[in-house]
Amino acid sequence: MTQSISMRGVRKSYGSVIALDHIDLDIRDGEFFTLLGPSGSGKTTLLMVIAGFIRADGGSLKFGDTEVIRMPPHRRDVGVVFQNYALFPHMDVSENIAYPLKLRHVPAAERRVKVEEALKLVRLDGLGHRRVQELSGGQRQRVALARAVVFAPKVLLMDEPLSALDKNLREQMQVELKRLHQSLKMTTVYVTHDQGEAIAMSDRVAVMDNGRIIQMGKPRDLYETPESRFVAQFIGESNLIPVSVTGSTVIGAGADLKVGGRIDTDSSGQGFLVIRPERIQIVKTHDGSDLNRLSATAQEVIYRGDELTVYAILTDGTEISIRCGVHHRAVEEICKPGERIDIAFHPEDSVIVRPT
Amino acid sequence: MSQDTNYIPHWHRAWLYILLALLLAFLAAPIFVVIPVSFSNTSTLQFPPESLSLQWYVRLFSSARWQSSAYNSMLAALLTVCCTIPLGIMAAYGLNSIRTGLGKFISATLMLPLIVPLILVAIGIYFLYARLGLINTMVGLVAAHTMYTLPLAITMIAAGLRRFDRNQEMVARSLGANRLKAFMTVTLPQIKFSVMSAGFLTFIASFDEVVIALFISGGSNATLPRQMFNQLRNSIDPTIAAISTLLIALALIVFAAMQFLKSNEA
Repeated sequence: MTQSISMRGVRKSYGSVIALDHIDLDIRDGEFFTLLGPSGSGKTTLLMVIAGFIRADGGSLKFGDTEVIRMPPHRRDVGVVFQNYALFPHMDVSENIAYPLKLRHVPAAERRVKVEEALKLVRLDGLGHRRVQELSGGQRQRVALARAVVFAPKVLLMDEPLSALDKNLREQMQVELKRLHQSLKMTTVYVTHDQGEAIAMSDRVAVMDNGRIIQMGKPRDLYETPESRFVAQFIGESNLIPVSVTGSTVIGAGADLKVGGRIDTDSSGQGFLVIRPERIQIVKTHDGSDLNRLSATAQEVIYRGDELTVYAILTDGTEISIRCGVHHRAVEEICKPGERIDIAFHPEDSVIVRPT
Repeated sequence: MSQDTNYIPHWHRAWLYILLALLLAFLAAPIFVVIPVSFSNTSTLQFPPESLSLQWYVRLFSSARWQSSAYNSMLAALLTVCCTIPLGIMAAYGLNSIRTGLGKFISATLMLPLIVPLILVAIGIYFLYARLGLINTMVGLVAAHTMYTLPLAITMIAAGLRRFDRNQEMVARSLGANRLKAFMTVTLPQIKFSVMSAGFLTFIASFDEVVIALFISGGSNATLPRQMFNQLRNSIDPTIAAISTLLIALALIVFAAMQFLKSNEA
C-alpha cells in the first residue's frame, strides 16, 4: 500500500540561495525516516518538495516506480501533518477526517466506518461531533493525524508535528506516533529540529545543513559515530578535544590517546576527538586498564536531580563536561572546584572528526 | 481604595456626554429630517410638515419614470455585485499570494479608482465610452460601477484572507483537492462573511452612485440617483424625500445585515 521514496539530484534554489543541493535519498517502504536539521537547513523545503507544494528546479522523485516530481500535490496521495495542525475550523472532527474520503467519492456508509476506525486509531473514539475549537492541542494533533492517514496515502509526511505541544505531552505523543507507525507500517517522513525526538522515533535519520544531507543512518550510528563536527554537536552533547594525528598516534591534551572509532582529520592531521559526557568516568590515578586517561582540573559540579554534571578543564585548556549518576556520592567530594581529577574513557567510545 | 482615587464621577464627565450627544445629532439629523418631510401633505419641502399623508409615496409608486429608474438601479447594482465579487475574490487571493514588488504595483493600480477624484474618473469613462458606444447602456454602467467598487471589495476580502491560515489550503490539496476545489471547500467557507459584506457594500455603493451615472446613464437606462438629480434641478417636491426615506431604509437594512454577519463571524 505505502511506497518507497527515491530521490536523485533534487535541487532547489531561491535566487542565489541554494535551498536543496542535489539531494540523493532512498527511503524504504514502511520506514520511519527523519529529516533533522537546524532552521534553514532545507529539511522543510525537502518535505514540501515530496508533498508537491514546492516545485524542484530539477532532479527525480519517485514513489515506488512512479515519477512524481511534476505531479500536482492533490494527485500524489500523500498525507501531510503540519506543525499548526491546520484543521478546518468550519467542519467538526468527523467532517475533517472524512474530507479526503469525500474527495475520493467513498460512499457515505463506508466513509462513516473509516472515520470511526481512524478515530479509534488515534484514541479519540466518540469525539467525532466535537468542534475543532473545543479540542486540546494534543487532541487536535491526533485529528490531524487521523485525517492524514484515513485515506491510506502512499506516504505520510509530518512537519514538526509535536513542536507546538508542551514537553510532557510531546514525549507522550512521541510514543504514540511510534506505536501508530508500527501498527500502520506506513512510509513516514518526519521533519524536526529536535534531535532527541529524531533519535527516539526514527528508523533512520538524515542530518541536513545548508541544503545538503551531512550524514544519514540509524540513530545509534549517528550518535555513536558522528562523521563531522556538525553532527557531533547537533546530535546530543559532545566534548571536542583538539588532537593531532600522525600515523596511528593520536596526541591530545598532552596525552597519547587510543581511538577505537572512525578517524578523519584534515590534511595536516588536525582533528577533534569526540567523546560524549556520559562516557567519561572520573577515576583514581592508579587504575590499571586500557582506558584513555587525562588529567583535568574540576571547575564545578551541578546537581540536576537525575544526574550530576561535572565541568572541568583539561591541561590544554579545553573545557569538558562529564555526566554521572547521582548515586556516585563521592563525586561531589572529589570534584571540589580547583581540585585535580583524573578522567578516563574507553577508546571504542570516541571518534575523530575534521576541525571544520 | 486606589480605584476610588482614580474614579471621576459621571456628573463630572457630563460635558463629555453632552458633546457626544450633539455630535451624534449633527451626524444623524440631516438624514432623518427627510423622513417626516416625505409624509407631508404640502407640495413644498417643509419641516416639520403641517399634516401627514402618503401622497408622495403614492405618486412615487405610480410613476413609470421612477419605477423604471429604480429598476435600472437595482439591476445595475445586482450585476455590479455579480462582476465585482468574483473579480474581487480573485484579485484579493492573488495579491495575498504574491509578496514581490509586482504585487504592490498591481495592488496600487487596483486602488486607483478609490484615490483619483471620482469626477475625473467619470469624465475619463465618458470619453472612452463615447468612442465605444457604451454611453446610456446597462453594460457600460455595470462596467464602470465594477471598476468603481472593485477596490473596496478587494480591500474587504483581503482583510478576510489575511486571517485565513494558508496551511489549510495546502492540507486540502495534499488530501486530494485541486486548487479550485481546495479554495471552494476550505478557503471560501471561512472568508464567506467578508465576501458577503463586500457584496452588500458593493450593492449599496453602486445603487447610490451618482457622479458616474450622471455622465453615462440616461434615457431609458437612467438610474435612481440620476433621476433624483434631474428632478431636483427642475422642481423640489417631497417625492424626493419619499425616495430618500426608502433609500435610507434600504441602507439601514444592509448595514444591519452586515453587522449581523460580523457578529456571526466572531
